[in-house]
Amino acid sequence: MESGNNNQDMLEEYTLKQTKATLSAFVDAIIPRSEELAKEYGEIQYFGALDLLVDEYLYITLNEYQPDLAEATVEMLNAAAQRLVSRVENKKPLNLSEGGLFASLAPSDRLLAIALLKKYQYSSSHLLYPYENIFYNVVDNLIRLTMIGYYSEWFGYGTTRLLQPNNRVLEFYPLSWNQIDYPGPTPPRQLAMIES
Amino acid sequence: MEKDFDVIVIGAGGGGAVVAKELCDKGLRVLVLEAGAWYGNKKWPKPNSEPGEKSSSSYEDLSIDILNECFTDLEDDMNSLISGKFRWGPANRQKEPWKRLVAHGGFTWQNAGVGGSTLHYLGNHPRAYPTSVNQVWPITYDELIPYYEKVEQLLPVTNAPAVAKEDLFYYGASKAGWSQHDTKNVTTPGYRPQPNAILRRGQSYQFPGEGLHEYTNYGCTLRGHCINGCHIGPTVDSVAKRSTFTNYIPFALLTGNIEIRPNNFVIQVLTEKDNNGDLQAIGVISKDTWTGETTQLRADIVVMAAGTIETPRLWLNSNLPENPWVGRGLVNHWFDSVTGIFEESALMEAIGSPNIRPFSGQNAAARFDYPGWGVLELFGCSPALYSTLGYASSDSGFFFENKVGDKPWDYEGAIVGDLLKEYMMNYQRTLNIVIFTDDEVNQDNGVTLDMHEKDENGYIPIIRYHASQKDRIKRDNLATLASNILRTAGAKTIVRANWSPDIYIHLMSTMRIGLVTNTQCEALQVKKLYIADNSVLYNSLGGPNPTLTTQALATRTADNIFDKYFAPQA
Ligand SMILES: Cc1cc2nc3c(=O)[nH]c(=O)nc-3n(C[C@H](O)[C@H](O)[C@H](O)COP(=O)(O)OP(=O)(O)OC[C@H]3O[C@@H](n4cnc5c(N)ncnc54)[C@H](O)[C@@H]3O)c2cc1C
Repeated sequence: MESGNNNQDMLEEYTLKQTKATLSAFVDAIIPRSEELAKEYGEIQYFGALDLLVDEYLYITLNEYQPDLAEATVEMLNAAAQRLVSRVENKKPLNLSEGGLFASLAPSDRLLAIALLKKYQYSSSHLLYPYENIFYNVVDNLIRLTMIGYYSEWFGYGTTRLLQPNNRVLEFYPLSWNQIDYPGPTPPRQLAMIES
Repeated sequence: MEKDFDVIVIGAGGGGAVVAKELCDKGLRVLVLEAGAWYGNKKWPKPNSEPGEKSSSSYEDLSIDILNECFTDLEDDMNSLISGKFRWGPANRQKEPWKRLVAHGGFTWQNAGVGGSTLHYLGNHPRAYPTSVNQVWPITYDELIPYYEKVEQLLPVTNAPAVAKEDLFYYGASKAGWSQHDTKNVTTPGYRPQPNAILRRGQSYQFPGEGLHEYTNYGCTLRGHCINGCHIGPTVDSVAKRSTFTNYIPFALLTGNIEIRPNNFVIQVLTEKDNNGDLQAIGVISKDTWTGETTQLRADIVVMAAGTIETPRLWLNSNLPENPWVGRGLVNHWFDSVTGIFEESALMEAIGSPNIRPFSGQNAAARFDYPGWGVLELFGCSPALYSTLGYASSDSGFFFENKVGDKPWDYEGAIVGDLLKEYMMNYQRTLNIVIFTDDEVNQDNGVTLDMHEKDENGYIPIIRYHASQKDRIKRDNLATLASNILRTAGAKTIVRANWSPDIYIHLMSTMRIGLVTNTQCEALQVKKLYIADNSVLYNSLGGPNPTLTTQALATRTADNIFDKYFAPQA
């Protein structure tokens, strides 16, 4: 019994680690940290989805839609990475880690893995088996959600960002709005006072 | 069992609110059952976290203060498909959204709530193209005109004002050799200010309700949140963007003949055989979305206005008679998006300003009509939705997978990585054009039930749509036209998204007039059951935004119902 429980715990922990690593790898590929842009256009352009914790947004939003959808999505991304690697279609070396195969791909190769999934969207294919049902509704939405998480007010909920939507309070305007010169809703919404 | 009301209307959205108000005007007692929340009503001060009361029948219940609290202008809060206040789901945001299966990673963008999908719509109200109605529909364009006029006056519809993005669009279209339209009945290509239902500052408008309702200081302030829910105005019924919860619903309340119950999902239409052995509607079963309690209600007439997906779903879940067109023939204008990025110098030359500021002004205040192909609509809004519409949705994969060759755009596909950040850095200098294709009806496209999966409201819908080769050609033509306008206006870089056909924004024609209903919009196989939403449209109207035509038909349907079943015998 006891060892079973421990295994369960370990497995859960491992899965959680992989979930975080994989979703982080995903959002990082879509909206990266950019040294080049920072050099050319100013420091603020360095920051990307990881800095705005968009992986958390993805995680809670997917699971709000359907319990365990985030975990299933991670499995699917890892399966796609596996196919990419076994077809030797990755262009850069792997950086193997316990975060799973998708997270071990270079960011540009992660995009290739996603592209591989997308290509098979119209044909029922072994590539997708047994993820067809998840895939049916998720891949394009992952990209959209990443952009919503990054360019909407979400990060500005600050310490309340992980609460139920009814309980979130806007504490500041997200840094992504500065990056793109969006002044925010006018006149500015009342921001919460935070005790410091 | 005795009847509870003269008429029950299912759904308080674009069409349902209209048929309800028109019937109230004729003195009938109407019950509206709406699956979603009611924003801006004292009986539901916290519509997303507390169940509130059961129903409202009084104009005095409306509250602009509550509306102001609910509509926050924030994109994730308002428009998240999963937990937003505008979503297809119950008012209680602690619950999951209602499930639908959409092929290929697509989604349906519809709202539950009093106002329905007009809560976040952009208020654009063009008429159908006459050539897409005459000799195609089972009724003529001329028959629609008096109803168009009535709705246009009530909403009211006016020409949208221009700010920088519209100026730039007109500049490009005119310089490319096109001329401006000055008609509501469009038969040739040309551009024009958007005919929309957004009150302008200082526009005179006669609010119903004699004397009491003379407001000053109403009208659009051009702050750019149409899509996130307009709450600009001194009262709910004078809010600038004329979603049906700001006009038809308040005006119906003023008649004293209506009761509206939000948070009520109709799960079955009840029927029985009349003396002649014909099936007729006699009522509905409705479920409280907070408590799960069900109620049976009876009326002489039932009107389905649950929208293009839920009306056929409800028909099928109610086991109403088979008809090869129920749920079939779905069209969606197979959207696309073409985005132009400008340099300051080009903008200075075109409009004398270094920025476009796509987040200011009305969200879609100019258009280009091209009968035979479809529509171009100028679009701008707050950045999260803007980035997803322009850059996140593509049927061609990522930009780096596609060679554009001699096409008039520079990139095709989803934009991600550093390039996305760079383009978004130019957000202030970006002009987006959305494409609506005049797509063809195909009986294979539409809504069926997933017989393996139920939610609390019945079997869930599966939505399928394949575009035709003709649709593809029209859409490519429109993308070329949009690119030419942008390039002529001075755009440096042009991105064509090439959206998947499985993004559903204008859903139409799954219960087509003449095939599922007669020309009066009464179901052919079930008497006393009418349809008054986008599903009853015969086709995609040639491309124009659907709501005005649905509302014109709903107004006509109210006349039909009254004349057939309630008018005093001569
Ligand atoms: C972003 C966006 C912008 C748009 N802009 C425009 C525009 O500018 N112009 C335009 O013409 N169109 C626009 N549209 C489309 C427009 O929203 C629809 O044309 C219009 O709302 C359709 O009206 P309807 O009555 O068919 O459905 P809806 O407005 O969706 O109303 C259906 C109602 O029925 C309720 N309901 C569903 N099932 C049940 C049930 N079983 N029991 C009880 N209630 C139920 C729903 O909750 C909903 O309130 C836009 C759409 C989107 C997504």
